[in-house]
Amino acid sequence: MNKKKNYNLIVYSLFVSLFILGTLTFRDYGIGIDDKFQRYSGLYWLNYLLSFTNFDGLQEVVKLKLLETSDHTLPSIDGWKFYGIFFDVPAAILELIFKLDNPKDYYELRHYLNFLFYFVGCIYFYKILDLRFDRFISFFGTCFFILSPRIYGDGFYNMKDIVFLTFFVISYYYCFKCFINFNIKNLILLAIFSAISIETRILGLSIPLSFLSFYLFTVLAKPSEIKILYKTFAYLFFTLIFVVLFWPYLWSAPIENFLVVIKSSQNFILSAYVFFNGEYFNNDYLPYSYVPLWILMTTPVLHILTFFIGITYGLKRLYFRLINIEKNQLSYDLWRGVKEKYDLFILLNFLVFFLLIILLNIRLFTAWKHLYFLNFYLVYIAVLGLNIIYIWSKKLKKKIILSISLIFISLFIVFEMIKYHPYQGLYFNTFVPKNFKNKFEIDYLALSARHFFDKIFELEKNDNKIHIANASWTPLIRTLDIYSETEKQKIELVGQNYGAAKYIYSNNISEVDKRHNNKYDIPKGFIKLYEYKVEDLLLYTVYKRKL
Amino acid sequence: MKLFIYKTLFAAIIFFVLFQITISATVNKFKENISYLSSDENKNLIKNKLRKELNSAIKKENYLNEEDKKLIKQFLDKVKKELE
Repeated sequence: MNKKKNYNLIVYSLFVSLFILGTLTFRDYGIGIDDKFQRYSGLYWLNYLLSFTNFDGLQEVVKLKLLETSDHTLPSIDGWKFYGIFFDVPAAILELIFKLDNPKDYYELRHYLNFLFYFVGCIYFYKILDLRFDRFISFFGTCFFILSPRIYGDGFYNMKDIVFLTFFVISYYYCFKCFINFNIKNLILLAIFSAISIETRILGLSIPLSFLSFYLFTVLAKPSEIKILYKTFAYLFFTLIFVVLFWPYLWSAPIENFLVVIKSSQNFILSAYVFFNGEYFNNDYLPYSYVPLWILMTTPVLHILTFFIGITYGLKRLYFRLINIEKNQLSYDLWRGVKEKYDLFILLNFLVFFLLIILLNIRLFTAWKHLYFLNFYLVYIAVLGLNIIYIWSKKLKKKIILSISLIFISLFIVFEMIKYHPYQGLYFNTFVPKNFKNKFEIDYLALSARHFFDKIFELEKNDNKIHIANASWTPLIRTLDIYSETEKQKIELVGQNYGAAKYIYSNNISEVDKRHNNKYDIPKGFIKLYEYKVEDLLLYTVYKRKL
Repeated sequence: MKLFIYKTLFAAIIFFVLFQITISATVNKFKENISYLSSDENKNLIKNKLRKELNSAIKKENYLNEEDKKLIKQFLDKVKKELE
């Protein structure tokens, strides 16, 4: 009893520490280039929702805010109407409730809300592990999830991928609950969170699809399970209803607009050049190594090692189940108990996603940001590997050595994350050589642009206009939003008109192949003023006109 | 029946993977080359190369060697004669 109490205390302490840490540090993170678009999208849908109500005054305020928000760097909302509303609209409502008119305040509010979503995702990940593993593994497994530096960092400003990851994890939790007890409560909750996941990212469709596939495997092994067919249909039906209900974009023409979303999902990611391994690639034709290399470079070594143990174990077990199908008459073909079913569910989903993403040459950029939901599978499989080590250690009576090693390695990752703060979202693991890191696009969201403007204001204390050219694809104007009107007036962004500039901002983000297109070449007459590096990562360089 | 389904599924996956890494990969490489040839980057590259060559030709004292000079002169004379 006492042991259980102590364990609960340790788990609570972990989550309380995470919550306090996030609350204290969310202001440290830069303003990403997506923040403005997410705000715009939230206000757009809030305006749409208000048009069904009598809150005319409120709608006028929202309309005014919408007008103020638009700028030439933002894509037209008509092309991106299908974005989910589950983060953006509550954020817009909170902005109105707290009467936030200062950009710094409403962006920081969004960052905090983003962190809360991430935090809830971590809790649900723990709940999933608690269904499958024992307390020791669940605790350290949750630590693995939190100590994924890229995911942790993005937990403060990535309002699409992290929000999707959270709903994805919650959906899987209810999916696992349905595997144990397919009652009406679990069925409805699964349908709700599947629908929210689909609405957030169309990839959420994989949840009902994989659930259905596993049901088919179940029936194949035990035909008597056909008796719960009506429940499976009920789940699919409710998911469909909730998708339409939660997605205002579908309200006017559900089927037609859903097909538009499916069609647009092919062009969901922009076509551009990406800087990868020292070369520029058109992202329509990325090398097969793109996703595996990014994951290997940006995931802590501990996670990678345990992942390989986990996947080897999982595949080996699947192989033995497959070759023994005929001999096995008592239980299911591909799994024995429900815990094995969870593992297989995760393993097969991961393999299907991983193969499809690599083989179908899915258009990607900004590292593997769009695939951060894969981190859920990666960490789960890593925890499966950790469980194997744990079982060995118990057999050899070396559990204490494993505990000390895990604490020591976890502390090392924490230390690494502190060194990267507030750029954990740009983390590379310790095995990546220093020079190799800069052969990849780094600060795509321009988190360091805030640092750049702060530095420029520090250098130019007089009242003269500061003309800044931009030798990169980064829309600097969006970061400028958080500064006061006086500061904004002082800055004149001149794009690639280098002749008019006093300073040039440059980084390795480019939509064109820099080897053959000279639009971002630094012209003669400028000297390097300084480089901004974090852990040998070159975030940006500033050039100044020679006097 | 059950075994047949599992085997079909397994064969379909293997076929898909093999198809993607062989035929599809080759088609993609081909498409990539075409896309690159017609891209703005490539057009700029060719234009820049042409400019560079013209510049180096202007700077050279004798761009053509004696043998080429003779050959081109003979060719132009021939064309001129035919046109007259």
